[in-house]
Order: sequence, then C-alpha cells, then structure tokens
Amino acid sequence: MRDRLARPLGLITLLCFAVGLYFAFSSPPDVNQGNLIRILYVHVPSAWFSYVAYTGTFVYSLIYLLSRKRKYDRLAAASTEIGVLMTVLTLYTGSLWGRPTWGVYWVWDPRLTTTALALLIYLGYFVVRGLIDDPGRRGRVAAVIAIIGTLDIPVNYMSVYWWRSIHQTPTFQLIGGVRVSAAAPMVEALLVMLLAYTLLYFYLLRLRGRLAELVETREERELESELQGDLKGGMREPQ
Amino acid sequence: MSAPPAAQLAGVALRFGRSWVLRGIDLELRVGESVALFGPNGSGKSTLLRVLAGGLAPAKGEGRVFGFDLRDKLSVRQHVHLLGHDAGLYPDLTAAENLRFSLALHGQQGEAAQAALLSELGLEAHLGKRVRQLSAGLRKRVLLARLALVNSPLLLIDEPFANLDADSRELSLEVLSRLQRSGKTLLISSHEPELAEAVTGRSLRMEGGRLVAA
Amino acid sequence: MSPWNTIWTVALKDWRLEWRSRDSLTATVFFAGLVLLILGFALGPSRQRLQQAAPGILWTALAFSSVLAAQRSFGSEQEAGALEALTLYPVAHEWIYLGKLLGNYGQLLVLGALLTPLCDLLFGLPAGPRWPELLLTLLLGLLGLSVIGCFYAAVTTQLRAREALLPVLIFPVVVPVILASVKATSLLTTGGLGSEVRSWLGLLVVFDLIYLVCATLIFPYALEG
Repeated sequence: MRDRLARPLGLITLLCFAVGLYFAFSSPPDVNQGNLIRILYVHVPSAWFSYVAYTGTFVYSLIYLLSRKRKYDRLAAASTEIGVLMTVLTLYTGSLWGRPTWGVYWVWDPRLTTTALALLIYLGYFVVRGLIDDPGRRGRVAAVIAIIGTLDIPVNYMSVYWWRSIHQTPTFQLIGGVRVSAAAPMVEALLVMLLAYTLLYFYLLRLRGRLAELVETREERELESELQGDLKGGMREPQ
Repeated sequence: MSAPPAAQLAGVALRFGRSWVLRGIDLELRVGESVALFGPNGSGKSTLLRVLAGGLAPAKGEGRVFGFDLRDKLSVRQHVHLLGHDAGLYPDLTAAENLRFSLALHGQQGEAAQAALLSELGLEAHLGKRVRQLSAGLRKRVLLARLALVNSPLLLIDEPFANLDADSRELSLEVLSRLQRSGKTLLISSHEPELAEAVTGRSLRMEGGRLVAA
Repeated sequence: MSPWNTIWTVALKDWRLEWRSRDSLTATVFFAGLVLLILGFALGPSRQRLQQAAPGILWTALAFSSVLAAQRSFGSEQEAGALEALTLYPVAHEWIYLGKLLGNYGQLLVLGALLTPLCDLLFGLPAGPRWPELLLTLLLGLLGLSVIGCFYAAVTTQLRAREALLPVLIFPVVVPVILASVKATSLLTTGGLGSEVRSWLGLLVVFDLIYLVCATLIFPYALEG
C-alpha cells in the first residue's frame, strides 16, 4: 500500500519552491520597504497555508462526525498539526517584518490577532486530543472542538477588524474582489510561492496522514490479535 | 411474527483506550425474564449494562433492544432504565423533587399511583426531606421507588445490594421480585450470587470481559 | 415529552439546586468582586482613569466568573453522579444542552445584575437614560459567554485537568463577545454614537445566533459515549 502520489507531489512542490524562491530573490526591492519586502514571499504564503489547513481541519472534522471513518479524524489532526506549525512561522515572520516597518514586534492588527487566537484555539485542540485515550471519543470530541473553533476565526477577524485596524491594505483583498497593488514581478513571485505552499500543504497532509495511519494500523493489529486470541481462549488477558 | 427479544447482543466488543473491556459478548434476554449477572469487580458488568442502556457504543458487534438497533440511541433509551451504582440523586433536592425530575424526563407525570408504593417503601415521611439528609438506606429506597415508577420495560440494575443494611436488602428483593412479576425484563448485576438468585431465573457469569458458563 | 418541557425541567432543576445551596452563585459573585478589586488596585486610584476602564473591568470580571459558573454547571452533575443518568434519559441531548444553558444563563444574569451596579458604584458606569441599551448589551453578552461556556464545560467534564483546560478553550473563542460588549458598554457610558452601539450589538446578536444553533446541533456528538 505505498502512496504513489506522495513522491511526485513532493518533487513538484520542491520545484515550485525553487522557482518561487528564485523569483523572490531576483524581484526588485520595494519602493518603500527595500529588501524587507522579501519577507512577504514567505510570510503571506505561510499565513495562507495556515488558513488552508484550518479549512481542511473543519471539512475533515465535519466529514468525520458524519461518516465516523477513522481516516478523516487522522486527516483532521494532521491538517491541524501542520496548520499550527505554519501559524507559528507566520507569527514569527510577521513580527520580524513588523519590527522594522511598524517599529514594534506586535500590533493589535486584526489579521495578526486573529492568527494568534487561531493558534490558541488549535493548541487547545491538541491538549484535548492528548487527554483522551479512546480513539472514537477522541475523534468525536476533537472534531466538535475543531468545528466550533474554526467557525470562530471569521467572527474573530470581523470583531478585531472593527475594533482596530492599522494593517496595510491587504495585498490581495481576501474579502471582496482581487485587487493587485504591487508591481508585476513581485506578484509573480508571490503567486508562485502561494502555489508552492499550497502544494506543500497537500504533500505534508498526505505524509502526516499516512504516518498516523501506520501507527494506528499497528496499534489496531496488536489490539485485534489480543482480542482474537482471547476469543479462542488461547491468550491470557494482560493485567 | 413473534415479538423481538428484550435485548440481543452479538459479538459485542468495546474498549477503553488501549484495553478491551468487553471481548465479544453474545446475549439474549427474552421479554419478561430476569437474569442475574455475576462476576468480580472489573469484569465488565457495568460496561455491559451501559452498552444496553444506549450509553456506550460498542466498537464491534451488533445489538438490539426491543428490536431497535443500539445505534438508534433515542429509541433504545425510551425502553431502558439503568440504575447505576453512581445513582444520580441531587443532594439538595428533596426525595420527591428527585423523583419528579426523573419521571418528567421519562415523559411521565401522575403522582396518585405512587402513593401505595411510597408508603410500602416507608418513604412518605421522608419525601419532603433533602436527599442530603437521608441515610444510605433511605436513598436506596428512593432509587427503588424510581425504578418501580419508571415505565421502561427493560430495567438494568447495577449492584442493587451493595452497602445495604438487612432491612433495605429485604425491601430491594421485594421490589425487584414484584417488578419481575409485573412483566418487566430485569438484568441485575451483583457480586453476591445468593441475593441476586433469589429474584432471577437465570444467571450469567462475566470474567475478563466475556460471558462464561455460570 | 416536548422539547420545551425538557429544557424547562432541566433549567428549573438547576435553579432550584442553586437556590438551595447557592454554591456556584456565592463562588462566582465573590470571585467577580475580587476581580473588580484587583483591577481597581492595578489601574487606580485616579477616578478618571478608573471610570474610563470601568467597562473593561466589568466584562473581565464577568468573563472570568462565567467560566467558573459553566464549570459548576456540569461539575455539580458530575459530583452528584447524575451526569450519566442525565445523558440516558429518553430525551434528545440537544434539549438537555439548552436546558443546562438556560440554567447557566439565569445564573449569569443574576451575577450581571449584582455586578453592574457594584461596578457603577466603585468606578462609575454612567449610562443615564441609555440604561435599556446597557441592559440589552448585558443580555446579549452574557448569552454569548453562556453558550460557549456551557458547551466547553460539557465537553471537558470527563477530562483530567479540566479546571485548567476550560479557560484555555473558552477565552480564544469568546474574544468577539468581549470586544463587542466592552465597546458597546463604553460607548454607552461615554455618550458614543448610537449607530456604533447598534453595530456592536449587531455583532453580538450574530455571534449568539451562530453559536446557539451550532453548539446545540453539535452537542449530541460531544456527549455520546
């Protein structure tokens, strides 16, 4: 049962990264921000990755609750895990960028704040997962928390946006039509990087999901053989 | 077509975390029979009762209660009442309020019919007292009253004789055998064979999550 | 049994229990009072600054104590050994959730009714003729806190370390409630624009509706064994 898609997907992702990074370093510096603008090419795509991942978590959790197939619980957890990783990177690159441009590492900007809150929500998700041993119950409770938590992200964004907004106008307007406000080579670099990160998401999701599947299969096999041996009356129950 | 059995389990297995608590249970309870379930602590008796009550979903196997699949939890819960050893009386409600609450959630009202039973259990004088102030024996009687008043046809009773004085035991036995005569199906778990046998026709033994020959 | 009867039976039971023992109410009121005091010390003693901070102080106290109240709401069931029985009654779990929610919301309203005048007394919350809007803010804000609090409290009742876990789960989610409630309260007490107040109240209504519906629908999945 080898995953035939994983390797080509990984190679294409790598290729995209190579092209994207080439554009990112060869594109002209920004009129106002100079070379600082290059952080954008990793910051924006990793934020994008996080939100793709959380959307994935939401969808897989919902499918899990409806279908109760273990696979979707594994994918939801995998998606959250890589999402959390990228959220940390987003906040890190964001504060690195914020320090020279805004003069501080942190501002109460809606996107920043929403992203930090999302990080807390999904860290809570993992804490809860860690506290429940039974896979069925763990999957259910985790899915429920993921669904309620993901629903909160847009509401958080709206509320913080109203509360205070000093972020520069989004380069790509996320809400409303696409409005490009950067020079062409920069857009090119950003688009390729976005594609690369999107591919990376699917690659990592497959990999992590597969790993979880292997771990689970092994555990299942142990449990199953214990039960079967027991049914035949062959094995002593472990104390 | 004959009426479906009160409960039917086939190959039911269930695990908590990484250990199996039920390891393949086959069981059939006919309508109106009463069965005792013995076994040491931790053998899975309580878990089995919870599966039948629609509280825990089995990981493997099939089960039906009065013809309703165990997955149809609402229908199952409409036909079963579980008296757990963690009995669930609210200490700051009176005995009467506790009874009324449970019956209301079972969709039952009617207090007139209860009078005879309550006096037989010697509860009338205590109905207005908070459960907090009642002795363990009296609390058990409140639970017995609830068991007798709830109109579920299948009653699952977990350790009805644990920690009881002689009088209350006597009373428990009486109530249970009366319920049996009235046509209810009973499954009683206990680790004291002689007591449970006094009210049941058949007995089963559990060990390590399996039913073994009694 | 009709859904409304179930909801009402459960809520009434909770209120009666609470009235008898006053466990949870005493604890939450004292706790909230302490938060007021501590924030008063931290931000005072300038009367002007305290008055400016009063809406924030009020909602901080309400949010913290609402977590406590939600925990008690399911903790008391657990202690009585009644949580299992509650889930085994032949009624849909959606209505059980709404019943527990109504019970908890009632308690939070009492808490809000005690705390708001106290906050006014200590720091100043001059709503004047706009008190009906302030009342509406309290009703909507506390509903939001209650919906989320009860939901997570139910999900975590059977987990280890739930006391520490509950606030971690609740606070990131109720941020919109807190922002909107604080903003609305502060606009109302400083003579802010009516239209702004309305948009914050609108946000609260939207939040309450979304979560009331979603939490109710999803609750049975969280509870089943």
